[in-house]
Amino acid sequence: MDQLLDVETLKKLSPEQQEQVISGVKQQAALANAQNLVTDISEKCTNKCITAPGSSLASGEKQCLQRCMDRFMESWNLVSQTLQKRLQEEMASSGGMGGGFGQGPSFS
Amino acid sequence: MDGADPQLARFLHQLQAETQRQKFTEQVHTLTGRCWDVCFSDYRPPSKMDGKTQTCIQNCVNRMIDASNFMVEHLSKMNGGSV
Repeated sequence: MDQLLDVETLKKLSPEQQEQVISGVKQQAALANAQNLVTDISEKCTNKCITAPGSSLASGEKQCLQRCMDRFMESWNLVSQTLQKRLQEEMASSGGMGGGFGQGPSFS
Repeated sequence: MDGADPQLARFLHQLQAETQRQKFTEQVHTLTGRCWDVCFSDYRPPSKMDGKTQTCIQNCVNRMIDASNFMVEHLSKMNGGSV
């Protein structure tokens, strides 16, 4: 990581290598985000839905899990939108730092 | 940085944008976890997200940021403004 972020090293990369670095960064980020989401969802939803484990997964528990996952995804996307709006407002009021991130990421 | 090489500048800019996007996503991750606990605290997950819960989540996100800003401000005051 330190080597990659050294500007002198970065300067020596060919355009193809630069593209490889960017796509590697994107892939790693996507993987880490998916793993985070799965870990989070399973923790939150099993906490809520599996409170008195029986001998098999009951249909009520399945329904609960399904709803829980759907609501969690919706919440994720809503948090993403809300945070993005807030950051844009803060950037606008503080004047500097144009740019921002276009459309925030969302899971579907 | 190095204005002489537009290719390099573009590359560095892309790297920076990816880093920012990742920071943003991690913040969404943290906030979703906290606000989920706050806004879906006692019920089993409902079949639809109602307006009240939506408002709760939006308020939760904004108040968490307010709280964080407030605490940072307070801490820097405690420090005699030397930060």
